[in-house]
Amino acid sequence: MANSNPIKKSEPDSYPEFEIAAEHSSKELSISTETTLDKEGWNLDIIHSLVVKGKSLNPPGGDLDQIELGTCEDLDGKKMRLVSTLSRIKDTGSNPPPGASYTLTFFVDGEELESYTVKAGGTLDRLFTKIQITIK
Amino acid sequence: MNRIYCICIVVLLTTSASGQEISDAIKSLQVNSSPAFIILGVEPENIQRPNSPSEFVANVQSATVNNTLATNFAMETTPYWWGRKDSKRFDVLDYLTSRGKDDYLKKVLQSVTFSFATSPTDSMVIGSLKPGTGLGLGFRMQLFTGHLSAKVERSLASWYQLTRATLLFDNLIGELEGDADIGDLEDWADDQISADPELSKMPEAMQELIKERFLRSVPANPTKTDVPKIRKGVNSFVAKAKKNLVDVNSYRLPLTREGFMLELAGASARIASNLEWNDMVLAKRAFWLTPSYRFNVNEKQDGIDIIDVMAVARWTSNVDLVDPSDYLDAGGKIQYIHERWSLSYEAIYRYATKKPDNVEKSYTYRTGLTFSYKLNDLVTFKVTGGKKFNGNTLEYDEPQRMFIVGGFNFGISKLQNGG
Repeated sequence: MANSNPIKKSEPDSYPEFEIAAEHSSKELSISTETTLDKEGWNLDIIHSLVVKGKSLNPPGGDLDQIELGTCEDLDGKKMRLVSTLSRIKDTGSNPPPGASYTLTFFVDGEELESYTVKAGGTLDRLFTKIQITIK
Repeated sequence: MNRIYCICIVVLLTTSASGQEISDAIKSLQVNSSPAFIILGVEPENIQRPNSPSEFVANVQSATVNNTLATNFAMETTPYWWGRKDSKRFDVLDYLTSRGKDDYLKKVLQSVTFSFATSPTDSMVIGSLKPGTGLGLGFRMQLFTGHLSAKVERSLASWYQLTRATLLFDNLIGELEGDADIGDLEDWADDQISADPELSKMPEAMQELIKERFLRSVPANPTKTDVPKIRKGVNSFVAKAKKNLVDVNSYRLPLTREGFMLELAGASARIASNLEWNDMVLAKRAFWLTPSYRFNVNEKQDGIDIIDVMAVARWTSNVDLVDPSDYLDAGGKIQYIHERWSLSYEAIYRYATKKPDNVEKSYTYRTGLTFSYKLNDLVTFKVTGGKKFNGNTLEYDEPQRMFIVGGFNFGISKLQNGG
C-alpha cells in the first residue's frame, strides 16, 4: 500500500483513492486524531465535520477517539471528508500562537493501520482529509 | 507555630505577577489551597486527582495500610467531571455568560470540589490533643465566578458562533459531494443542529442565529453544482472567525475574569492518635466565605493592570482540647498587579469567642504587605512583611511581632492537547 499523506491545509477538489488491503475488508474501519500544541499557555479548540458515504457523522469536538466509519467492504468506493478546525485561544501564553501537530490514525478492528501527521501554525487552521476508500 | 501562620496567610495572601498566577489569582486568593489541606496546615506537593468513582475509591484505599492511616496523603476531586473524557478540554462556553437557562446551577456544580488529606499533627493545630495523624476533609464551591471583559467576550462569542456555523457548511459540502439528497434545507439544518454535539449544546439563541445566517448564505435547494458557492460562504465565515480570534489573542490575558466572585469553603480536621481509622477524634471545623471584586483597569490590550479587592469571613470551631475558644476571622486585602510586579496589603482580625483567664484580649490580628516580581515564566520572587498572630488563644497577646518572609516560586506546567 502506498497511500500518501491525505491531510491537506487547503481543500482539494477531488477525493484521491485511499487503498486498504483486501485482507481487511470485513474489518471495522475507525479513525482517531491527536493534536498537540508546541507552546504552553494556550488553549486548543478542535471541531470536526466528518461525512462518510454522503452522511454526516457529527463527531464530538476535541480529538476524535476511534470514530467508527463502517466495515471496509461497505466503504469500498465511498468518499470520506474530514475537516478539522483548530483554534488557539490565548490563556497565559504570549504571541505568536503556537504551532500544532495534528495526527490522523486509521484503525481496522481497533488495530492501527496507518497514521499521518501535519504541522499547522496559525491562530485558526482548517485541515482537510478527502479520500475515496478503495479495497485492493 | 509556623504551620498555623501558614494556614492564615494562604487564605488571603499569595499571588504574583506571572501570567499563570494572575490567571489563577482569584482562585488563589479565595482559598489558596484545598480546604482539607488548609485546616491541617499542610501544602502537599503531590495531590492525587481521581477522575472517576473507581479511581476515587482506589485513592481512598491507598490512604490506608492495614487499617492504618498513611501520612502525607492528599487528594482533591471534582465529582461533576467523574467519568467525563472531556474534563480537561477547553470549553469556551465556560467563559461566555449567555450559555443557557441551567447555566448557574451547572457552573456551581462544576466547581464543587472535595479534598482529603492526612498529615502528622502540629501542636499549634491540635493543642493538647494526643499527637498522631491528622485527617482533613474539605469542600469548596464557586458561587459567583466573574466574567470576561465585554470586548473579549464579544469577540470570543462571535468566533464561537462562526466556527460552529462552518460545521453546517462543511457537512452540507460533504453530503453534496457524497451525492446525498438534502431535501428541505431548513429541516436538514434543524436535524444537523440537534444531531451535532457541538451545535446542540449551544444556547438556543445562538443556534437560531447560526441557522439564519446559514440559510441566508446557501441556495434553497442546493445541489452538487452549488458546492463552489457554498465553499465561498464557508471561507468568508472562517475569515471572520479568524479575525475575531486574532482580536481575542491580542489581549495579554484575554481569559482573565473580572467583576464579582464568591467562594464558599468548609473543612474539618480529625486526629487519629494511634494512626487508626476507627479511633479518630474531631479537632476542629471551619467555614470560609470569600467575596472578591476585580477591576481590570488596563488601557492597553497587551498590558496587565488589575486591582483586586478581597475579603474573607471565616468561622472556626475547636474542640476544647485544641482551644477552648472558637474563632471568628474577618479580613480584607487590596492588591494592584502591573505587568511583572504586584503589591498587596492585607489585614485579618481574629476574635476569640471564649477568652482564657490568662489572656488579656479576646482579639488579635495580622497584617502583611507583599511585593512580588516575575523574573521569568517559571520563577517569581516574593517578599512579605508585617505583623502576625499565631491563631491560638493561648498566645493571643503578641500580635506586634514583626516578620518578613522572602522567597522564590517555581512553576512547571504541561502543554495542552486536544483530548
